[in-house]
Amino acid sequence: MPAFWNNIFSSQTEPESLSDVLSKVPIFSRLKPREREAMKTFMHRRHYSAGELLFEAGEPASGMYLIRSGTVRLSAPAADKDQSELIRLGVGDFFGESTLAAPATRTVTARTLESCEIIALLHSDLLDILEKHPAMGARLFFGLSEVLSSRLQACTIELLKRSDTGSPAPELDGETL
Amino acid sequence: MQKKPLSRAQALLLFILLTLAIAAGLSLFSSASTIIGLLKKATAGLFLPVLLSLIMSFLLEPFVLRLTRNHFNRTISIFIVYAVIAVGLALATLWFAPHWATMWSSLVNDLPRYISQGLAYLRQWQEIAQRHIPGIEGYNFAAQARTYAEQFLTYVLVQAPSSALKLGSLMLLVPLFSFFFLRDGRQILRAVIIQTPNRSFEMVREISFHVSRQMAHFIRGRILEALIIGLVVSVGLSFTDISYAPLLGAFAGICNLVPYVGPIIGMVPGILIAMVDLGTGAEFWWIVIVYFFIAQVIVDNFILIPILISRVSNLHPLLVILAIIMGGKLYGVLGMIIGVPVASIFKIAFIESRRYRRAFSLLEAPIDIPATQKQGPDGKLYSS
Repeated sequence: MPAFWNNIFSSQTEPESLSDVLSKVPIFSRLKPREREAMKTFMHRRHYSAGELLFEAGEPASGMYLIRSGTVRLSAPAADKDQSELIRLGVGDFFGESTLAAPATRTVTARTLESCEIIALLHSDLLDILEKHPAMGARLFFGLSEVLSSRLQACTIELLKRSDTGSPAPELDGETL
Repeated sequence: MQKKPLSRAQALLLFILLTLAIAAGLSLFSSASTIIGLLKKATAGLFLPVLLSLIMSFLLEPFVLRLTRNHFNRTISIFIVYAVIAVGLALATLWFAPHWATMWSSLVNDLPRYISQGLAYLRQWQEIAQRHIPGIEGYNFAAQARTYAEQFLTYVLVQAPSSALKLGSLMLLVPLFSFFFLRDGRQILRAVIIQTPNRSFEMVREISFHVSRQMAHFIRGRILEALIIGLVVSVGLSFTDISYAPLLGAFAGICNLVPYVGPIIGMVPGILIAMVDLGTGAEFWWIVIVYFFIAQVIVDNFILIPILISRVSNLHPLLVILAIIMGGKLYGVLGMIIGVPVASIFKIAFIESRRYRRAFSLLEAPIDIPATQKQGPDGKLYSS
């Protein structure tokens, strides 16, 4: 059978829409489907080639990145120039969300391992959403605070565990948390 | 290796090549200057309408935003705002038109009278000055002022129809442009951000956001300030028998857009008319108090400026004067008025981008993560 016919009858594999991708990310899970669709006009879609630097530790940070395709490596700046790898993130993973509400500096370095499609949501986009669609902004902030507080919980438990085992734990006070 | 001297043919070739290169360079240069000339010609009268429509879209944005929050489509919201403004303008014109005609005709009669009276005052002061200060007998300020005043008068009378024509084209272009700025402004900005490289798009987006937010505050604040000052002066003057109180209030309000110099220029016609028509009685002093004390000191300095205008946009007096002169050179009287706000906008853009860079210490570029954070003036956390 000529390839010509194949193309007509085979169902095209639809690439996942942004709305579907966002529905799996906890920050956006509380948004209504229509609002997830509207996020398209607020987020930035960017293409990175393999080995490209997303950001470096110490740089200004004002937003989160969501991986739509490809792999990204996060690494911490080590004393000797050799950077130690922390984690590899794949499709659907996100990072940098802690700077979304309050811009700070990046604590890790992110570099792509292959060509990636990445969606970014920045602090100013969040303010924009809050101004234009307050209800949607509130739901977004709720999702964000859920993610942040679960991170905080995990961090606290980790610190407590360390102090139990006797390993030197960094001093805890309300401010650093 | 020893270099051989150029042969005759080679020298000729070199000569021809050099000549060609110079000719090519010259023609490129001249065509480039033609292109730039064409561009200049094409964009000639566009700066003013674009600027005014930007200002207008910044002014209307809050109203459009309020409507879109009530689940109106953005385009429909803009149309609603436009319709409300059009109806308001139409009503104002209907109510104002008969008054306007009489006011204009009496003003045309009164203006020469006021100017000649003002010149007479000037001559008196000149005589006093010449009696007390030696060395200025030769100067004739009054005659100088008379030529200026005559020029001004003919300018007003001759230019009024042509500036009305210009105003007509502005009234067509400005609503059209600001409609598109209002509707597509965000998309235009996003299109620009898409073009920026991956490494800098975050910074470009953040800086552009903060700059446009500061600009919106500044423009809204300034216009609101001018409106309130105009209203205060009109109301204050209408307690007296002075004619043209609303006109003088409007003039004072518009002049108030220019810092330092503007308020003084704004009170000159009012005080002159008061001196000519009312003499220096109680009413005259009330008018002076309205201009100086109520409008400038109490309302503007104590109430409006602390509330509406942020210190970010404060300009050095020298810069103000430079901006007025340069604006006047470029666009005449209107340029003088908008020169200072435009300079302030440039300053806001500069300061915001510098603050962003400094906040994240991009200027020194240390890698360590600062432990202390300090609150910025806009309530944002900045790492110190």
